[in-house]
Amino acid sequence: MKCTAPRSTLRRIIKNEKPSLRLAANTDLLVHLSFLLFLHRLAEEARTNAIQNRSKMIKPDHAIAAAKVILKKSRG
Amino acid sequence: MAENRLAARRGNRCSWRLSAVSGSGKKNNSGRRSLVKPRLTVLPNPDDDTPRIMLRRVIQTQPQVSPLALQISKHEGTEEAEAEVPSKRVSSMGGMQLPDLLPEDTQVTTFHMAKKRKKFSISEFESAADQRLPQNQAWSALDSTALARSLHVSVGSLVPADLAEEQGLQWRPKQRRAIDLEAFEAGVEQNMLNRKAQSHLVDSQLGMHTGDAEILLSTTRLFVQPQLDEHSQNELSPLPPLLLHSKTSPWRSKNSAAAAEELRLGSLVSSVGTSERQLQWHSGDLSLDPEHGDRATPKLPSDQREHQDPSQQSNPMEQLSLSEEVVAASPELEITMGGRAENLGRPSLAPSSAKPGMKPLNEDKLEDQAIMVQLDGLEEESAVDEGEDPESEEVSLRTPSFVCAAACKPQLSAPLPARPAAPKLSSPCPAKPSASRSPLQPLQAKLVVKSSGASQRRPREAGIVSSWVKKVFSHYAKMPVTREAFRIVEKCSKRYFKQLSNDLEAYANHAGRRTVEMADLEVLMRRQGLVTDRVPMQVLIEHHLPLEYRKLLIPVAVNGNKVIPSQ
Repeated sequence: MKCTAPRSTLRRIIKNEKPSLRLAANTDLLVHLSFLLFLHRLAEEARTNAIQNRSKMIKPDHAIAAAKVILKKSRG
Repeated sequence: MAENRLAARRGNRCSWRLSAVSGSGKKNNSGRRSLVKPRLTVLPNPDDDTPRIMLRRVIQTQPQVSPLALQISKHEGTEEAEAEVPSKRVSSMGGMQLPDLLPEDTQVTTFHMAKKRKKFSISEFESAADQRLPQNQAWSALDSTALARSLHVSVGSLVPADLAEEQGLQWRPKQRRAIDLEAFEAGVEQNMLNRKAQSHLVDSQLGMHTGDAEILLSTTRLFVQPQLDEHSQNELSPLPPLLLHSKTSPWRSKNSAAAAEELRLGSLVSSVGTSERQLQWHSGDLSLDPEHGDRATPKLPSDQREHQDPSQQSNPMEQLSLSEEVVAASPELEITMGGRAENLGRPSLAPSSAKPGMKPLNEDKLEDQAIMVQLDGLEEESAVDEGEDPESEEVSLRTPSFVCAAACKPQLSAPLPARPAAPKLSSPCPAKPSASRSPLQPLQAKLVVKSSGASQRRPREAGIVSSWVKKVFSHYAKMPVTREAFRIVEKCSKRYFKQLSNDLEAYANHAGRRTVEMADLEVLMRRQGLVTDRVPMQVLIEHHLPLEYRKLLIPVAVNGNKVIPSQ
């Protein structure tokens, strides 16, 4: 796994969406952290779905079903 | 009687030895002792026949139930031998005969069941010992005859007198009767004949009634009846639809050069098939009309498909008969042909109408004809169950769904632009309806919004490096992920960032700030459920972030009264 987080990319993303918003010093790291955790949950859910379907690969439908749940969860 | 008592007394002494010798494994020693007594007395020296063998013999002589005819003869032999034994008890000649009995008994024991039965049989034997002596001969004779009839395997000596008593305690299966193969086959043939009698033409043509396969074959051939009027009747033959679709289709092509002829054949074949079907269902409903037959045509291919019969031979026969029928087309067919001509001009409608024709309903002939027109073409597609809705309808239903699905996406994109414009504090609310929809649609809508927005600089909006996302995701998933799934993950991540930014903005505004602080992010993560009272933020940081970042985020105290990062 990569050791460095794409900090600049993250900043750019948020900037694009919310131009008026500013980020504090290391907040993007926390954003990165939250994003990592989100991916983690998504992967776990998709993995669970795939295993439930007795398939050895994560198929798109598994991912969609997982995304539905996790996105709702991570609304904040 | 007196002799028996003497034998009993002697047996008592002998039983002592018996019990000591054979006691261990046998539970019924006490019960058997008395039984053994007479036997023991018969044998001058127990050394020749061990008590075990004698006991076994006694046990074996119980009536047994065995479907095997072999046993009968053996038991008959044993019966007579046994009959002689008791008579010779007193004469102490049994020693000579017992060994003869033993091999027979051993043969019998092969089918003997558990020892539980021995117990009561022996006791009964003992109780009826007095009666058996004079009746042995008569009983054995009776038993032999009974065995022959009822497959009743029983040793004569033990059976007598106790038969009535033992039967109550014995196994029921003794009452079984031998299955008469001949009678069974005769009954089967009778059934077939009866069924054939219902069909008019079967008997005349078939002429064979030996095996079921032949019968089936013959019944299928009946379909081929050349006469049109009797066509339905022929179809009525209560035979399973043995027609093979594969055979009929090529056969049809051979028969008719003209399309009309093919249509006719198709109609005929279909009618035959339909009639078959109806026959199957109604088991001999003879009221099929040619109309039914027409309707049956669409069913025929499905029938043929569904039923794979070994009797492919019947198909060419049927087809031949069909060709004959074509030649002798009835006026009905001509009418239908006329109708078909009209339908020929509407091939587009045929597919839709053909499938409705698959239904076993009374439909217009035109529809059937249209179906027949398309039969050849639709044979491949007509593998639909009869009870199902018309395929055409299904297909038509499917397409709209697809269209709707495609239309929904652009439609959904419209309300999404309204979402970002909504008040910031209400960001969770729009998120709800968006979350309720499938993520794909809003994701696509988002893309549309983005592109239509001011920034069209990057075709991919500040895309998170997909390779990095892939790495992270596959690392977390621990499973191979398809490309499609990755794309979905990317979309999800974009959506997530959108949500994230919205929330952060809301929090910052709520705090009256313009920049997002750590506290805001902590609140966000708390609301996400990542940070809880049990899992503080620090733990998450330490768990997931590399050391460099950790140092930045968490002030670390180092010796020398230093804190990193310096605050």
